[in-house]
Amino acid sequence: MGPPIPLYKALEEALPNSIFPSPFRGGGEELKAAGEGVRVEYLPSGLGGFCYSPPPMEVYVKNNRVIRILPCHIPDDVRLWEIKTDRGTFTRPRKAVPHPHMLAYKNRVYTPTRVKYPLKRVDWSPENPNPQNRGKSGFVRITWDEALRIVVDMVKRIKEKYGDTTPILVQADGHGQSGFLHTLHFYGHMLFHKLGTGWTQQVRNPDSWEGYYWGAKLVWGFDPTLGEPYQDGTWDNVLQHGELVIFSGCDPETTAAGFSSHVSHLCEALKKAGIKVIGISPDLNYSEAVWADRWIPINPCTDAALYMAVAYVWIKEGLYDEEYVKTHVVGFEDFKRHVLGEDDGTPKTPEWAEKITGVPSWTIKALARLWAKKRTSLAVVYGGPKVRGPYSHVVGRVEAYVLAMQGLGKPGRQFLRFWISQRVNIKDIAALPTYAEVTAETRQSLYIDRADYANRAYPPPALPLIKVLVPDAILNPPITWWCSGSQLNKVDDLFVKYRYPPRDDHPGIRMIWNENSCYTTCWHGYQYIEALRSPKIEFHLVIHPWFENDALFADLVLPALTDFEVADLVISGRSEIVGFAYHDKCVEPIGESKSDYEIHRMIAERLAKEFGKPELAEAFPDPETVHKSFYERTMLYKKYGITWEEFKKRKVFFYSHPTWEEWVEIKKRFGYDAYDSFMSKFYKAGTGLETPTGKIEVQSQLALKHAPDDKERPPVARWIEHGDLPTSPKKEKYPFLLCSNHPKYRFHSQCDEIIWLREVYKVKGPDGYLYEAVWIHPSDAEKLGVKTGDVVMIYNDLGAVLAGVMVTERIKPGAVSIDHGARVDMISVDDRIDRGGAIDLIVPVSSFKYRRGEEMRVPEQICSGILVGVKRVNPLELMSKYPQAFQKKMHPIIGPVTEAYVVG
Amino acid sequence: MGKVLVIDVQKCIGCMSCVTACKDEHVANDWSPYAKPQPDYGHFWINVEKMERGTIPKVKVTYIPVLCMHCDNAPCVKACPAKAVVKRADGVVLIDPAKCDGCRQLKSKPLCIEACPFNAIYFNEALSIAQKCTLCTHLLDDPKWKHGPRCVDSCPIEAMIYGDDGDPKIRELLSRAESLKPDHGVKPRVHYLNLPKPFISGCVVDPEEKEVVIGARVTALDLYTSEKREVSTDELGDFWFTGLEWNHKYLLKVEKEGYESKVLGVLTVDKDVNVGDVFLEKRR
Repeated sequence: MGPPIPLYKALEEALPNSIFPSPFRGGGEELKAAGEGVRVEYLPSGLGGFCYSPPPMEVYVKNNRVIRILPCHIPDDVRLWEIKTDRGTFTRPRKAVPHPHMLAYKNRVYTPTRVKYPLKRVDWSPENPNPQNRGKSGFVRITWDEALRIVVDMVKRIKEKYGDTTPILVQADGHGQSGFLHTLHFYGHMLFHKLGTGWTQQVRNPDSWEGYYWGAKLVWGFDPTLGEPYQDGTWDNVLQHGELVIFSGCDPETTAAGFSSHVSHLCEALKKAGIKVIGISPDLNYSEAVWADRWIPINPCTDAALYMAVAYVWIKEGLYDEEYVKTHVVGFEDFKRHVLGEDDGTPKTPEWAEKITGVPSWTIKALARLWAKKRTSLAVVYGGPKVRGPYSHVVGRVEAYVLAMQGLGKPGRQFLRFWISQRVNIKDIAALPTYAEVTAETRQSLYIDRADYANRAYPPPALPLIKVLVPDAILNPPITWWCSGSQLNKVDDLFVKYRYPPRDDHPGIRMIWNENSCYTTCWHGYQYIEALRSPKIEFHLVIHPWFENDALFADLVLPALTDFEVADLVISGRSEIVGFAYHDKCVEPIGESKSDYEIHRMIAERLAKEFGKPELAEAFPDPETVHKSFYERTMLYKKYGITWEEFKKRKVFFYSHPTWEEWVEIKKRFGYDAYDSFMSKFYKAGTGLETPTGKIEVQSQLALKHAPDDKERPPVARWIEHGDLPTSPKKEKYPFLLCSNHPKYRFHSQCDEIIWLREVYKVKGPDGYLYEAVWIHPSDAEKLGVKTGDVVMIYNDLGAVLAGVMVTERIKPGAVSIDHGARVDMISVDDRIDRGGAIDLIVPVSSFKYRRGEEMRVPEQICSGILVGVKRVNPLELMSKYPQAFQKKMHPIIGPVTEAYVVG
Repeated sequence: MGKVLVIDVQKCIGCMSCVTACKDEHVANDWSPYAKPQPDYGHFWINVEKMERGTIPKVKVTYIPVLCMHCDNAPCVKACPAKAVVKRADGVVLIDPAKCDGCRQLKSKPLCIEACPFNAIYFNEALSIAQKCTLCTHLLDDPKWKHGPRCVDSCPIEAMIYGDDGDPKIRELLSRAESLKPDHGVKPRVHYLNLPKPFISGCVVDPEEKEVVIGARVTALDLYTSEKREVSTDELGDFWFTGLEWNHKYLLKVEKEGYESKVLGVLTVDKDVNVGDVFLEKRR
C-alpha cells in the first residue's frame, strides 16, 4: 500500500458537496455577540507541542485582558463523524472540551511564577561559573542586551576553546505550548544546525511508550507509532464486534483529555455498545473509577507476569487460537516452552504470578478464560504505568504475544488506542471516520519539518545523545549504548551502537541550552542535578516562561512567553477534528518576555554577524512570512481558495467528516471492509506487518540477527527477575512499589502552578503548604501511622521528596501512587530533599541496570515500578533544620514564586 | 416556569472542568450588579463532591457537582437582614453585592451562609460580602449568549443540562429527577438524576480448587421491606447488588450446587459494602 491518495475527486462526483471546510463562526459575527469592545481569539488548547493543538479554545479578550476561555464549539455546518453499527450509531459531542488546565490558562499567563526579565545567577561568570552553587545562589535582573551578549560570548568561547560547538548540549524537545511558530521547543537545534559548527543533540526518548518502543516493536513493527498497532478503523471494529475491553493502565480521562481534548464520549460509546470494561492497574485511575465494570489491582510494572500466567492457562486448557498462531506468528514454540517452564524450570503458573503481581491466582485463571471466551480488545492511551518501569521491554513484548494468541485482528479482538490524533496514528485511513484528503493533509502538507529536531536523531555535525543518559554522559563519560532513542527511527536502530563523547579527545558536554526546563521533574532529577553542578558545565542557559524546575539550577534564564502574548497560527491536528485558526495577540507580553522564536531570532542575528554567516539570520524569517507560506500549503488555500488575508479575518475553519456511507466507501478504496481495522487486514492476509517476516514475531528475527545472545532482550522475551519486584530482597529496605502516572491535573510538568486546580488536588499539610498527593491504601497507612493530610517522605538511595498523604481504597496495598511532574521546591540540594513532590527526582537513570562502562543495550526510561521507602515526617522539624528553605517567598496556593529566587 | 439545572450524576467524570470554568468566569471579573469578583482561591461556587465507594478491589467513584440550588423556598432569602438576597422571576437567586454588607453589624458570618443547607455560599473577606453561584445570569440575560451557564458549557459529556422547566424535554427529565436533601422542603431548582444508591459486592471462591465459583446464587433479603433480590456470580466469581436502599439491613446468602450454602449474615448498608472473598466449602 502506497501513501494515502486524496479521494476527493472520485467522491465529489459521487456525492456532491459532501466534502467542504466549514466556516467556524466568522470572527466578525462572534465579535458582535461577545459584547462591546470584546474580541474572540482562537488559541491552542493543549500542551503537546510540536506545532499541533487539539481544537482551539475560544478566548474572549477586552482591553489587553483575558476575560474568559471557552471550549471549542463546533459549528452546526461542520458534519460530525458517525459510526453505524448493529448496536446503534455513535458520534461525538458538538464541542471539544480541553483539559481543565487549559480552561484555567488565564491563571498561568498572569502567575507570579513567570520569568519577567532576563535573570542571571548572581555568582556566575564565564571565568568563575561556581557550578557548586547551582540551585543555591539567587538571581539578579539584567537587560536583554547583556543577556544576549552573554549567550553569544559563551557560544564563541566554547568554539574557541574546544574547536567547534559540539560541547553545547541542546535540550529542545518534548511537550510544550502548542502554537504553530512562536512557543515551540526546537529552535536551539535549528540555530546550531544552520550555524554548521555542530551541537550535541539531546534526542528525546519515547517517554510515555517505553515498553512498546523497546520491546513490542520487535514483535509487530509499527515504528511510526512507537510500537503500538495502527488505529485505522479500529473503533468501527470494536464498537461493532467487541464484548470486553481491558483498560491496561489506560486512563483516557487523564491522558487523552490532556492531549486531544476530552474523549469521554468514546468511553461512553463502549458502554452503550454493551461492552464490558475491566481495568488492570495498581491504582483505580480516573477512567476506571467511572467506566470500568471491574478493577483488577496489580503490583506496579508486573503485568508481564500476569500475561505469562494467562498464557499458561490458555496453553494448558487449549484456549488459544492455535490456527492463527500457526499462520500469523513466528517462533511461538520457544515462548510456550518458557511459559511452561521447560527452559528454566519455572512454570509461569497463576500461583507463580500471584506472588509477583498480587493478583489472586483464581482471578488470573478466571480472567484468562473470560479473555478467551469473549471478543476482547486491549486499550491504552499512552501505555500506562506498566510500560514505564524497569525492563519495560518485557511487558511490551509479552503483551503483544498474548494478543497474538487470541488472534489479534479478529472481529472485536483489537489493540485499541484512545489516541485519536490523525497524523501519526495510522497507516492508510483514519482512526475515526475522516475524508481521505483530510487525512492526507494532516500527514503531508501539515507536516512541519522543524519538529523533526525534537523527534529525530541528526547526522553529523550533530552528536546524538539519548535524553535518558544525559547525566551519565556528563558524569561518567565515555558511555556506550544501543539506539538513538529517536521516536521516529526504524526498529533496526535498536541495535545500532552509539558512544558519547564520540572520541576520547572530545571534551564532552560543556554548556547546556535548555528550552524545556523540565528534565529535573520528568526524568531522573537528582542525578541530573548532580551533573548540572559538575565543574564540567561552564554555562547553563534556560529559556522558559516560568521560573521552575531546571531554571532553579540555571546560570541565565531568558523570559519566554505564552501563546496569549503573540499572534500565531493554530493547527488543530491532535484530535479527529481537523482545522486551522489564526489568533492575534490577546495581551501584551508579560514583563520583557519574548517568544521562543523571537529569542532565537535575536540570538541568530547576533551569531550571524559574529560568525560571518548571514544565512543563519535568514533561517529565522519574520513570523508573518512563515505563517503565510505554511498556510498556502493547506487545502483551505489550494483547493478552496481562501486567501491568507481572508483566513486571518475569519480566523477559524474546520473540515467536515464523512457520512458513514462515505466512510465505508473510503475504506473500500483502501482495501478495508466496513468494520475492518488495520489489524483486521493483517488477520485476513496473514502478512503485511513491517517485521522482517511480515508476521507477528514472537521470536524476533532482528534480535536473532543482531543480538542472539543478549541476556536482557533475547530473541524471545523471557521473564526477568530483578531488584524492583515484590519478590526482591530490596523490599526489606524499601517496602513500597512506586506507581507514577501521567498527572491528572497537569500535562507532565506543565501547569503545576494553576491555582484553581492546586486547590482541588494538592494535600494541605499541617504547615499549610500544598503538597503533591501520594495515594496510600488504608492498610498501609495504618502500618505507617499516617492519615490524610499528613506529610511523608518518599525515598531511596538517590534522595527524597515530600508528599501529602491521601488515604484511599484506589491504590493497591504495597504500592503508593504519586503522579510525575510536580514543581521542584528544594529543601536541600546537598541533602537531596524536595518539598514539591517531584517524584522523578528519585528515579534512577536506566544505567543502574548495567556495570559502569558496560554497553547499555536497552536504555529505557524508568519512572514507575521502583521500590521506595515511605515514612512520616513532621515538616516543622525539617523547618527548624532548614529554615531558609521554608522562608522562601511563597504564594499561599502556588508555593514558591519567581521572586523567591531573585536577590537584590 | 423558570431556569433549572439537571445534573446526571452517573455521567459525571469528575474532570473539574465546571469548577475551573466557574472560576475562569468569576475570578478577577466584575459582573456587577450580578456579582463582584470571586477571590483568587477559597471559593467553590460550584464544587464537585467525590464519593469513594466500596473497598479494594470493588471500588467505584461517584462525583456530585454541588452549587447554589436556587431554591424556590430559599432559606438565604429569608435569613438576609439587608434584603440583599433576591429571588428573580426566572427562579434564579442572586445576592446583590451593592446591598450585601456581609452582616457586619451582627459581627457574625453572613446569615445567608449559616442558612444555606448546601454550604453553597461563601464569604469574600476582602470585599466583606457573601457570594455564590449566579447561574451566570450576567451571560444568560444577554440574548446573544448561546452557551448557557459556564459550568454547563464546559462539561465534556453533557452531564449538566440547563433549561426552562416549561420545556417538555426538561419536564421529562424532572419527572425522573431528585433533589439533594429533599426533606428540607427548600424546593431546589437544581435537580439530580441517578443519585447513588449503595451496592453490596463480593467474590465467591472455592479455596480448595483455587478457582472462582461462577453461577453461584446469591440472595439479599431486605429485612425492612422483605424484598428479596437474587443474582448469580459472573465469570470472575463476582456478585453485585446495585441500587439498594441506604441504611436498610440485608440478609445475604450464597448457594451453589455441590457446595455448602453459606449465610453471610446481616449487612447494614450505611455505605457501599464489599464483603471480599467468600469461600465456599465443597459438600462432602
